[in-house]
Amino acid sequence: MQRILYLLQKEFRQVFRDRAMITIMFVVPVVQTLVLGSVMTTDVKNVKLLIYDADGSFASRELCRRLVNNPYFNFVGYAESASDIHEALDKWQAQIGLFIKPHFGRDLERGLRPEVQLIADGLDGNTAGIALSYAHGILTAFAQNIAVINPTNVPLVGETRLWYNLNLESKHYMIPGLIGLLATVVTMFLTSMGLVREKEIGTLEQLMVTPIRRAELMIGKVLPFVIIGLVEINVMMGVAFLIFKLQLAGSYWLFLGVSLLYFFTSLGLGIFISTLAETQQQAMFISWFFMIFLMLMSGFLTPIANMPLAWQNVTYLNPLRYYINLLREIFLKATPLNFLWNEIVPLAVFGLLILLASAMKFHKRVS
Amino acid sequence: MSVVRRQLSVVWMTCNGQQTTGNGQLTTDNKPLAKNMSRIIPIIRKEFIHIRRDFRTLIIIFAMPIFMLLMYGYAINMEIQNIDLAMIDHSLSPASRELVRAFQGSRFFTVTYFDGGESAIEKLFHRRDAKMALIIPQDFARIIGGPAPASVQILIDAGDSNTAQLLQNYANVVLQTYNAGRGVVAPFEVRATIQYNPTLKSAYYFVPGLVALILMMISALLTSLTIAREKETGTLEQILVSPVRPFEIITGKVVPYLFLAFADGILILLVARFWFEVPIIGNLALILLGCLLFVGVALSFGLLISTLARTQQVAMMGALMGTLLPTVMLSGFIFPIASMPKILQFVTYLVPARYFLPVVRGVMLKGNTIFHLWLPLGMLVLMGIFFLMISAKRFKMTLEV
Repeated sequence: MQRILYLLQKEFRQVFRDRAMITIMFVVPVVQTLVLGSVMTTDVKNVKLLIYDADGSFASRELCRRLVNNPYFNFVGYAESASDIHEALDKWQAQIGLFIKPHFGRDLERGLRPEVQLIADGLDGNTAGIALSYAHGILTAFAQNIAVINPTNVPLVGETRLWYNLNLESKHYMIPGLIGLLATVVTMFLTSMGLVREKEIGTLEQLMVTPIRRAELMIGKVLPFVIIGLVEINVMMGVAFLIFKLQLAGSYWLFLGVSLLYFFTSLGLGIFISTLAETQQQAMFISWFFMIFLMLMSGFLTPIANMPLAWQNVTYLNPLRYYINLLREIFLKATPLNFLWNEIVPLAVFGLLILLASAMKFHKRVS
Repeated sequence: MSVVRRQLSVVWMTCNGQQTTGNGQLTTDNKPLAKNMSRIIPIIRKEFIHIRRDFRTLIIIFAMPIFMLLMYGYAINMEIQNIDLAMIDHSLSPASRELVRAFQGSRFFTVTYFDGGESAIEKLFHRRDAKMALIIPQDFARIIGGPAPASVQILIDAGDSNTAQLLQNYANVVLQTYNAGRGVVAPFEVRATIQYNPTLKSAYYFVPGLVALILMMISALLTSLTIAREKETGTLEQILVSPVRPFEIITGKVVPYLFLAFADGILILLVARFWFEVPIIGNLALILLGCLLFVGVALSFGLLISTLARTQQVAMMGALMGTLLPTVMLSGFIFPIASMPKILQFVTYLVPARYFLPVVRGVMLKGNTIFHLWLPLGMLVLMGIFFLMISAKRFKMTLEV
């Protein structure tokens, strides 16, 4: 115990002496949370809208007004002809076009069911799908306003209630994921870099000739980064609360608990990488490779359920998948512990396996 | 040293000329081309040997593009499918069963019957057994035929706002179909046509975008690494004292990566066309012209980084931070620029990939011609010249030290 404490003291001294290290640990995560938190959004806003109103009647103008005033659309102007809409789409000047044919108002009054055309640029499928659904929603509301006058024609409507994320803002979903991602970067990178640096400058050899045991050495090396990691997720959570106005729906202690559990895995990975790499550069490179895999296969950007089945099965091997799931459940839905075992058990197993594997690879000697 | 400097500035001027007018420029130099080439070719050969020996470079050139294609082609997918829908049917009437069938018929939903109230649904959402619940009220059959407006409740686990948005939309489409089946129609019809990507496939968007990412990675990252490596090991000085001119060194160092970047770019285009079946509607030559300009920008940016970085590690960090991250995050590669905060939208104007992405995607999927794309292409030319001028200036300075 005494020996571990000494080692801890040494580690902390080493970390805090290095100005660059402090920047990497505290300034970088805050900046990253700020920038990535605002960039990584699947919200669809400011969709460029072009309208060609060939009718110009009261009804058509009312319809246009509703679309133009919608905050999701960025109205770029009125077109002179239907082909103008296609040209604007070709030229990237508009993403969605509304085409109201002549006599729309007259046909509407006579009950002839005139047609309104929406033309969307489907290149970015997600934006197109959501923009179309906005437009559809507005048009349907307009249609219902008219339909009220005619009581024999009552449609069935769905009353939608959105749970956990009333305003459908993607930040509530992305930022907890981002915290998981950045926590991985910090703990995995720092551990592997720290260990490899000692290897590089030869101080690891010095440590190895001391009477300290292998387990003690590993604990002493890893514990500081556990503490730093815990501090860091709190810093990032502070940014999330203060800047992005997020709320933690679930239990704070559960959040800390699962983070702690996850750090065994991420730190274990860090140690593992350090046994593979001889230089800091190699360590960085391998960590980077791991990171891309962890990120893309975790459901961080798009839901895992959208992937092909084979890919979905691979994600079960990804510890970050479970951690990000847990964070989102706790942050957004306040899911209690007894519904989270599907994630917690695999995480515990991963942590144990990775720690064991790296302990076996991490010999207290130099080759 | 001042002689070297004067020569360099001449050299860089010809370099600029070459960038904009094409490769015929070399012959107009008063030095014979053969002499230049005889010195450049050994450097190229030397660089290829380096590449072959360096495991890491090989990975970046060959494994990364394939890895990225698999990831972005399959793992990053915005198309939702098989959403678990909990059906809570309190009515259990022919009318309600017809509605259930409408949902079962949609390819987006997998319908399972459940029973219970709101607390049961909360449990379902917590257990993640369902993403959406539809509650049909007990008096559904009675109301649906009458004059009063009928409604069903749709509850969505909206944690993932994007999926929730799409679910809401799909549910409404199903309801509309159901209404139409009952002969209830809206007073006007909305017909949506989707251009360029009618089935809204994510791969259409991401796979062509990968060309930008890979070209950037190989051109900027590897170029900056290779020069930093020569600096680190001290071999750059050895080359500098040899009779080889600095311009020839740079050409020799850059040409192999130009080739490799192009080869990778073409590889991705082939995979996009034949594996992911993304159509190439427009002129392939225009895509290649765009690639050429973009590679020019990326290479000059890589040169700039290499003049600033003394070690490979710094070069790598610089290249990752200065090129890769902005290319992924701030170019519209994944996240729409229009949804970003205003300040970051301004930053995107400085990211070369922002101008290249509309070229690849536009030519491939929209059949854009040069008349549509002169602005982004022009911006790429300007950026290339700008970075080349700065890095030429910086390169001279590093030689003097």
